[in-house]
Amino acid sequence: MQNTKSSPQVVLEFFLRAFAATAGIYLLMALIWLLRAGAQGISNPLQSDDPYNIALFLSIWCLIPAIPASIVRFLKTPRAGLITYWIMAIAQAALLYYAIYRLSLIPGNEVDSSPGPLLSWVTLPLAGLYYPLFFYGKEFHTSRRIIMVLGGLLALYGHC
Amino acid sequence: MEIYWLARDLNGFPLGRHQFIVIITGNKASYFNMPRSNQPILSQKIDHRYGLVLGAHNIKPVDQKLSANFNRLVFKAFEPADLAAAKEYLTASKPTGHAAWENYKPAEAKKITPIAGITTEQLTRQILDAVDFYIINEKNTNIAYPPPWLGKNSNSWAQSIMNLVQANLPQGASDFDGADAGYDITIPAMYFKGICSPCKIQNPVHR
Repeated sequence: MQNTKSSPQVVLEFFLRAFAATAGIYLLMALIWLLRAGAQGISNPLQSDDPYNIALFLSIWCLIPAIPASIVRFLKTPRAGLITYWIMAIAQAALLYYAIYRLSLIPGNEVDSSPGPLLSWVTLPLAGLYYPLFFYGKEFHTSRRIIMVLGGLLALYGHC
Repeated sequence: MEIYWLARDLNGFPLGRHQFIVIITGNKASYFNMPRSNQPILSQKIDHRYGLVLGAHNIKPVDQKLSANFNRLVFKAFEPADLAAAKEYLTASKPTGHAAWENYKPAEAKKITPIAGITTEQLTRQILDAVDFYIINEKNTNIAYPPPWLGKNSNSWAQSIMNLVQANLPQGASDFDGADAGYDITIPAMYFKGICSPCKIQNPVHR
């Protein structure tokens, strides 16, 4: 089925979905941070800049395959968009794995101590979570609006 | 004497910060005793002065003297990247070996002062004693170095020592700018306060 929306509408929808998905990642990261703090007896976990830095990075990281997938979805079909999304996500994971391997050959590197290997393991599961967060449902659905408000406030608190 | 708590970028990867301790000891090289582990440390030139650079690092099994089957959090004095970052910070010089693509951020430092009634020399000795005990205890009961945020790492090591000694620390001192994983996790004090037998550590699942 061909998309009948105009280009400005599609661009607006893309930005709304990207913002909502980003807000969702901030909320998810805050939840993980609270659970981690509970398990390890850490106080005031959301005062650290770490969860917000991770959420910001993951938001950009996860958005990368969603960009070409959105274009293909608009030009062709949702199914073609889905296929494009997974091709991009797998290519992203493979490239990251290769980059980490190359960096690990440099003498004195601290790749093993970095988040890189962890990111290479979670890239595909994260892509699986991100796809419905980004593409499922109407862009102005109530649940998406709530996520945008809560996640947006959390991001403002974390970065400002 | 001056004591600094520093954080630098990880070497060769654009994400993550590593914390370590620098102690400026004077204008000439001198040995600092570590009587329990029998590893005296000779101070090295850092800026125009001499000092000690103390950190814990992720050591792979192949690089361990007594090999465990996992990466360990092992003390290392004057680790080259730590020393380079200390020199960069204290001489306000430009970084070496870092490219723009590495997202390089300069080292960040906090000057540490002792609490009232304690001298900087006494605080230095407390830090060295804590390191000395750690060397012995970690050798006996290894501490695993897991992926970031999943357990104890070099940032946990630095903050555990700083919170144990009689340093005057502001609230949230262990949280430096950037993603410094593990800064909020504490290694049990028994590792730094004496020879613990048995030492208790909860090592997470690791590779």
